[in-house]
Amino acid sequence: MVNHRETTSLGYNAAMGLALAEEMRRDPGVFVLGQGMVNGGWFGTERGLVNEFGTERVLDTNISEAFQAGLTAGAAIAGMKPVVNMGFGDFALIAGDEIFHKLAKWRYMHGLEVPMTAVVIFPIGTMGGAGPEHSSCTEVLGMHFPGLRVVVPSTPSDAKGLMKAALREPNPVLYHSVQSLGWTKGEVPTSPDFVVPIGKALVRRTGADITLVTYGSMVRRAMAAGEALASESLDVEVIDLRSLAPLDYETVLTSVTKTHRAMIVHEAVKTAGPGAEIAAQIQERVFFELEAPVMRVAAIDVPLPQQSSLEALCIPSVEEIAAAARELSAT
Amino acid sequence: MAELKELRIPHMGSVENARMVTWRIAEGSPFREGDVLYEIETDKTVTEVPAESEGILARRAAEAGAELKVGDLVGWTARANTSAGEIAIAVARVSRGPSSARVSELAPRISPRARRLAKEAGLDPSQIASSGGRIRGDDVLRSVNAATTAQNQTHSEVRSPTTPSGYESVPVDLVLNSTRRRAIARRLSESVRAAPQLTADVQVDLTRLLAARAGHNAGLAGPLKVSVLSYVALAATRMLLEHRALNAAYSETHTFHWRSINLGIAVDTSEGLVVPVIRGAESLGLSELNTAIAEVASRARSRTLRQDELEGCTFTISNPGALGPVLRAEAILNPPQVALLGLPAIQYVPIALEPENYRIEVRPVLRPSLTFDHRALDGGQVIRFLSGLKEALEQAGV
Amino acid sequence: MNSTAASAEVGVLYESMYERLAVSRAIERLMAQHVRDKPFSGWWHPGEGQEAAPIGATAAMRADDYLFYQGRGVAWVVGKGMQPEPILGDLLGRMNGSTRGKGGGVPHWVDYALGIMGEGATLGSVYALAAGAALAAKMRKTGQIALADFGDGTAARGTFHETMIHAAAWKLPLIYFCENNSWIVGTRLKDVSPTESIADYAAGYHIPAAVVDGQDALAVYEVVKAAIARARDGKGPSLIEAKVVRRRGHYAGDPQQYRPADDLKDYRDPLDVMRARLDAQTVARLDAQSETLVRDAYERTLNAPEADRSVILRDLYYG
Repeated sequence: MVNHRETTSLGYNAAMGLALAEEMRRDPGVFVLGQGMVNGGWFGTERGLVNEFGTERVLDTNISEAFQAGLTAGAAIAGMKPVVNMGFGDFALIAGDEIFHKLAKWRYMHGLEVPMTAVVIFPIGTMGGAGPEHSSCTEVLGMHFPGLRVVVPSTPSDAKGLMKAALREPNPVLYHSVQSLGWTKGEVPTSPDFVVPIGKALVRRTGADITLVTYGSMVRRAMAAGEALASESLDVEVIDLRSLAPLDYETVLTSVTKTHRAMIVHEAVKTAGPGAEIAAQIQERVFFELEAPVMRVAAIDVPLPQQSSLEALCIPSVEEIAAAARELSAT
Repeated sequence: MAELKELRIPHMGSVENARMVTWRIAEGSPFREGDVLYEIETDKTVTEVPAESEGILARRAAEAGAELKVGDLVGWTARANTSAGEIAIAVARVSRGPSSARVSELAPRISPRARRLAKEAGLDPSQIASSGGRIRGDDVLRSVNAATTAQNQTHSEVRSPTTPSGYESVPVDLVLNSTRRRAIARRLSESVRAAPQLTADVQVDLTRLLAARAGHNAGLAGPLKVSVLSYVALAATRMLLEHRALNAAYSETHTFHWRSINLGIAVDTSEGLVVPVIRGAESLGLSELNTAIAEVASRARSRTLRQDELEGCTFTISNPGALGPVLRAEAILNPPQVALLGLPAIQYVPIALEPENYRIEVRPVLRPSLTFDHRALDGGQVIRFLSGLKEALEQAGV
Repeated sequence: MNSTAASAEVGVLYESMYERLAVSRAIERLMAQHVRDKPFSGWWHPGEGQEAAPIGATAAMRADDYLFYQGRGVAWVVGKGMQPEPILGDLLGRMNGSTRGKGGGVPHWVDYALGIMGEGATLGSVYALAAGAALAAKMRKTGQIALADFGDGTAARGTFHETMIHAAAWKLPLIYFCENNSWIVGTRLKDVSPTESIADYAAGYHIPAAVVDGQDALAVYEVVKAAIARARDGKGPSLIEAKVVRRRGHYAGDPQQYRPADDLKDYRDPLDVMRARLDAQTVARLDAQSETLVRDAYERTLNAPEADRSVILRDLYYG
């Protein structure tokens, strides 16, 4: 029985790092690579790993994202369990062939029924002025290439639990760490056996009137909106997906069947974002439970502006989320 | 190409809400000017809405039970003699609509959940009462409950009626109460419940009035002949100018002393009692009043009253004496009025003329009843009014 | 080793290489006929005439050395030890293929036990994958090496350079093996490259390079053997450029209108080159043997069950 009661207060990135250390201790096949890993990574996630595991298992690479990802795939094919930090989710596109063809499709193409563990860390989302090519939310890509798992933790506890799950998963995992949550703190279970299952959502707030589906950076904002709306007698149920592939539709659809009104909130751009797929599934599968169309609240369809004040206006705010919920309940 | 005209609920004075009671014309049927198209129930009454000109009812847009507002679209009409085919094409065109806003105007939006619940309940979704132009799942559930309740009631009337105890073995014809009857029942019960009502009577010797009347009517054609009712109405109107407390409406904090006298004349029609209103009766002379009474009575019977002739009544005169030899004309007040004058039949009875001589003669006598709301009026006010009325009527023509 | 034993060993080597050349050629001829006579899914990329480099290179590899190949002909997988039946099964979309039904025009032959790690169809994906396997070998200290096979045009991919930078810096046990036939489909290499010799790039990465006659399996064998020894010894990667001749079009049915008439004037059939080292009876025996082997495998494959719908959802996720 895993004791989750003992917890410690940790930052989100630090929790990821702790998960890496624990899994590297547990399994000699696990190693970490990326730019700046020896110095603890750009965002502190890998801090201290080289001290414990040496440069044999903590590798610095040059500025070669395609190579980093391809190397990860090759090492996984050869039976190792590599973790590559890509620096920014935006760089998924530099390593597109390596991630979305090689990692995703290798076993399928070759008819191989074998485990293949590889974790690709994509720091995603706005962090205050990093610009359109260092702030993208690219998590939808993993959903569109069958063969990959896609996770997006929203709390330090989930950051740790999902990283550990990813390293025990016999399939490649695209692990999207949320930049704007990097230094947020939370209670994190200390047990080295604490794992958050991939593919399981969490209902963070129960409610009867509206189902609000979200993940990552928008969970906090959705919760704040939910609190504000409670004083207006609007009862919002907030579901934190935690994983996008596989996606816990059972939890989502059970909720929508109860509330009859659904909305999806994410920081990624609206058009063809994860919300579009989720909305399509909701209306396909529980259409006759709906009182109103499924709404999406997401970033404006533009590359994010460089200026941080403009950038903030492009992504959903608490007020926008609440206003959308009000509109939905009035429909 | 056939052009359709929108049929909307006409404005009727202050009325806002209108519940569709029933259509009287089927889709596709022609109608003439004046034919009743549909009935709506407002806060006041159940009203028939006639056609303003001839035509064909092309399509209905609201069904029985729909909660509507004045101005709402209830259907479309086509010009008379338009072929069924042309009408069908025009209807299809109108249903598609140039914009979604127009479409939503045409029929209430039904949510997917509502559609499913309706289907499961075996209901046509478009038959379900909408709230604000939308039909939601809860609206369907309410309809289902109401239908179940109504169905249970109907079934209980027909199969195992809630027959009053002790009457089980008495043979019976069950008559379904009309919507109007139920509306009347509701209103009267409410009136009695809310206002403590009493009735005071006086005896009026009509000898002089009848003589004056005979003289006035000599040489006049039928409709111009003045009725006794008109004389009474005139006298009552003049009295109300002096006794304004009887031309009023009561509320908890204030009493409304109306400045004009909108005289309601109760008319018995084939569909029941109607009380058309003659506005500003205080400014009408005897002949005018007589004409006005005759006209509203006629329109009441032909069901062509305007809405302003159905509302704003400040004092009602009821004339059951015209229907039969009824001795007393006590009535139930028409809220919010505080007084009602009821006229029984004229009787020829022996009365004492000169008390000091105890001379007795048979005279034509009318015993008007004044039913009043005791919250607003004291006995003294009523008796003074009736005394004045008696004197005016006994001196008529003098 | 005394000269008799040495020459016997060499004799065995020649025979085994010739046998594999013959089997490869037999499959090539069979496929050429098959795609003419029967419907074929995708496009067959014939490797006839280019067999020597793969056969020579694989002869120098251990079974557990990692091979990442790219798609011309069958010689790479024949050389690494795959039998004709699974090779044909993959080509013809049968369940007896090495991929159990996933094969087609670009066949993706795989057998991890033979070190045949598979094929990425995006040319140039081979470098980083092979480097990853090489890294795994280095981390596990198994002595395994990885060989990345590619064509001259594929050397233009950025991944060639990104990978070599790191392989050289980390001294990965990695062999870059280029089959230079100087044609990128219908484009001449010299029109799109500053050099006609891919080996030129090695200097920039401070790694050794060798240019070898790719039509001679033995010559290729020698060069690869030396490079592998370096790699196993921890001395890092090498770049080997085998000059080869693409005997046929880029794909079966390619009219090759871009090719000058004399482009094949220096062509030497790799089988002839190896035959010269063997006696006629051995050659005849091996020719007949390989012909029979391939014919039988073909018959069995034609009768094997075809890939069906069950293949579609298979192998997407493990567990």
